[in-house]
Amino acid sequence: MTLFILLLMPLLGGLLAWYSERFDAGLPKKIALLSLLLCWLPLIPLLSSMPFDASSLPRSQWLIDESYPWIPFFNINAHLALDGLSLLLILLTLLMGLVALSSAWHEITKRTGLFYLNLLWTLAGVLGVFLAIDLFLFFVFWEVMLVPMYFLISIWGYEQRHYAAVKFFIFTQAGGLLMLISLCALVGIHYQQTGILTFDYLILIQNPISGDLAFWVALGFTIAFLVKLPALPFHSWLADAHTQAPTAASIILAAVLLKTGGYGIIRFVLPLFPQASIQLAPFMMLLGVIGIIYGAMMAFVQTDLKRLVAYSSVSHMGFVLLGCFAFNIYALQGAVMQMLAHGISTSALFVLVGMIQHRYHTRDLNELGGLWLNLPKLSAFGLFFGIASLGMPGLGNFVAEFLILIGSFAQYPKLTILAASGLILAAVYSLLLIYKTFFGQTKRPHDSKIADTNTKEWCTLISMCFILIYLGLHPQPFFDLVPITLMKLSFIADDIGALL
Amino acid sequence: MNVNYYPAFILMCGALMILIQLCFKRSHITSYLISGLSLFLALLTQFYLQNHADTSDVLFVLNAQTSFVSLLLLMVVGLIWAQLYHWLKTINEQKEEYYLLFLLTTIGGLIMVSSHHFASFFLGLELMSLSFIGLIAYCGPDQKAQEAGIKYLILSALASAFILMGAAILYLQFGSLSFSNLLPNTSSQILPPWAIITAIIFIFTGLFFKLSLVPCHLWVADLFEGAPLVTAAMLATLSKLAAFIILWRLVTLGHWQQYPLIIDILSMVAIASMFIGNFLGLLQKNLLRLMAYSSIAHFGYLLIVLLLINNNAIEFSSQSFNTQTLFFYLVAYLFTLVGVFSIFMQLPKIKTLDDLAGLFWHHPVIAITLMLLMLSLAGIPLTLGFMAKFYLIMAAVSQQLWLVLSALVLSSIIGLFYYLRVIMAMLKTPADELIFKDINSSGSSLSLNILILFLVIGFGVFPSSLSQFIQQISG
Repeated sequence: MTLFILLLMPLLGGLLAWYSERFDAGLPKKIALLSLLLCWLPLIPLLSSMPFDASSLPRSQWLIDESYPWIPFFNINAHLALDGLSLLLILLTLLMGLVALSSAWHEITKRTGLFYLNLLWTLAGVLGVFLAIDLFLFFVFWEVMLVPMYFLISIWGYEQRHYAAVKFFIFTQAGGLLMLISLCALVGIHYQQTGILTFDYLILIQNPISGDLAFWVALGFTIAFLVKLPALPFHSWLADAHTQAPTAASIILAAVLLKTGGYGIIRFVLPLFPQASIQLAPFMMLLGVIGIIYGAMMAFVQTDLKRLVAYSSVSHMGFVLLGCFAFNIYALQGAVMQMLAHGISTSALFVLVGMIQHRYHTRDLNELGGLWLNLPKLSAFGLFFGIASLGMPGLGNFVAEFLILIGSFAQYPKLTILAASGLILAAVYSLLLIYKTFFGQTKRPHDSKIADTNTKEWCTLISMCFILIYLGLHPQPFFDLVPITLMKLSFIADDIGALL
Repeated sequence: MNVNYYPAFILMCGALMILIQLCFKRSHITSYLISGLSLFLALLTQFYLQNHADTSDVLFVLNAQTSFVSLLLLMVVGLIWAQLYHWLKTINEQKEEYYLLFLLTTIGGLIMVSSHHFASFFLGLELMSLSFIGLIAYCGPDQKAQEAGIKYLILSALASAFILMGAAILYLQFGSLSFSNLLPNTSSQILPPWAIITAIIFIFTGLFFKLSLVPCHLWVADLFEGAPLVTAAMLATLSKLAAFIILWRLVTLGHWQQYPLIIDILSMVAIASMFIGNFLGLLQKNLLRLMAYSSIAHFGYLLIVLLLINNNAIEFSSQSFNTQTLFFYLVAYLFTLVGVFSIFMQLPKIKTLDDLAGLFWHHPVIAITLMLLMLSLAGIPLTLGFMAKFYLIMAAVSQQLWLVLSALVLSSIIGLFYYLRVIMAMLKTPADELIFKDINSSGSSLSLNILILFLVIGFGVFPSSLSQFIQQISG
């Protein structure tokens, strides 16, 4: 029941928050905070009993595994399971949920009840995506989490919110439909080859499908995940959605929604289609590299601060794609680490942009400048997260990118060299961001009413700093937690022997 | 008399009673109650017959499947009827005859869905179409309604003529008008194959007109916009349900999928309907026109069922699963559509998308219901519409119909645009709040909304019982 309780908590909390708006407009956010904190409760026994060292790792992949029949007609079960990878991403989701809540606390003043309903339901959907092990259930969560996100963007967003919301919804739905067809084809082929009708990942994974169709099925899944990641030809929803969304929604988008794409590739595409993913790998690596360079180049021509951060995400997620398809344990661990580190550093940047916009009512780089003089604390955080995103050694992003590059160099040296140039480009746009915002000429007379970070903001940001530093200095527990050797990635087993 | 004819017989009695009542005294409420009572009794009888029906004679086949379709039809009509009284009060016409025609179309539909012979099929079709003409042109002085009535009169006469011609050619070949004799018998081939194909195309033309599939779709938007709202709802649900069931029965009983040309025509019509319906829906401002185009697209999706060849070798391509797909899709689509129309009936003043602006902030229950119905039409998970799409994709994937599947994906994405536009319109800040004054938010319409939500979301989240029921009747 633990995992179902974890899912139900934000769902019920959201409903309660919506209802409570009738009594007091300030109540919904408190209820949202409470329900997010309660979500940690089911995880506590797990976290306390889990020793963070390699020697006592659990022998099976799944830490918790719960299943109830749902639609017996198609043999679909409500099957949730948790392993190290999903645990890490769930922790990230819950943390970023708190961060989003903190940034929405004062920013959202209209229709608060509905806002927190949608925020919590999006989080519930994302948790469901990370937990669902039945493919049908996974698909349901995958699609349903978009609906509240659509409302978040289209009701509380900025000027062009309707356009951005529709674009976001349609891009991701298109990917979703493709996945639905591939899903049906996968189950159908599996049924033909084994005689078992099932949507269960654990059963499907035992007999990976083969044949010509397997390649196309794998491609369908991969494209659906690439849209969410986002990789190059499907990335154009991201800049609009991030820019127009309210800060809290941008945080959720950047920190966790994008991660569902990477999670999907690692969890589903690689183990379910070992043959096809080897065929796909060169193209995916190429897409990843193009994404890295293109995202970085687009980032440094932006004048909108939020758009800049959004394009930097495209660049960073290119590394995830690179890491996933390098077929190498280092690169894969790097990809997981990149998802965590990017989730934290980018959402911190979105928090900062939100703060700046709340104070100065602009995100235009040409109108900002010289913030350090007036807001030293906020600017110091800006500097920290700026250099985190350019991959400064000692922080999580560096570990991730370094591992990905090392891992993929063995097989694809040329592409990796190109990808490494992304690090330089990252330095260019990050420093540009820091320079134009925090240093340089002050463009406007100082308004003494604009205050520096308050305690709540300060606490949020400093805790994110510490997590990034911890990820950078002591990443081993996180690597141990991700049971790559247990994940039935067949190509990895040979590599480990060779490399260790 | 065979017990299986009771539902239609009860409705007939209801219609006659309204006629008799009209001779003595006009009373809106009496006609309303008579029609309601006869619908209710017919529904109860049909429900009872669900487990007992299994006979067939020359004209009709009455088994679990036709009984289920009749039940579905009566439920849909009942849901429309529930809104009828409030809606009729707002128009300035004699009201009693509407109930009469309403019952007559229902009888026509009932006859059609269980007919097994060209004679009974044609009888039902004409009864339905002729009553529809009256229903469409009901609001006398309204020019648009008159125009729509004339359009329907001419076009449906033309469609009937096509069907008759087709039936005549088939009679020439098979020497019988019964559907069960439609199977081609190679030993006694009188006509060349192209003549039979021509006959099939003639019948298709007539039925495609009723289903408003491309290229016989031009009338549908004008009609939905011009006709009275309840008539539009009946046209969209009852008439299309009956026509599709007949189409499906003809294609399966006659094994028409054996002709490659017919398969090509069906796939082309399906693909064209998906794309043209969804593309034309994109820029519509009028809500009813939007629904008209959406229904073209949905019947385009449903045509995929006819392309499924019954091949028991592969799972999900057996006769049984194809039938289940058809029934599930019909149930899902019709319930959603009736829901949408009953919401429209609760919003009498609202005609265009712009009028919807701000509905969410004034009448959240109505707006949320409409929102979920739109999501169901768009096929978002946890709604009935998604499960229907899932059935359809499951069946089509197992037969590897990649061409129509890719058309389905692309056109659903286009369709998503206008379903989202409806949702978005409701979220906007209202321009004029006066428009919401006439909204009927009484307890009865609230409970109806809750019932619709229960059907669309409840069966969307837990489809098992519905699936099993449908499996039983088509097994």
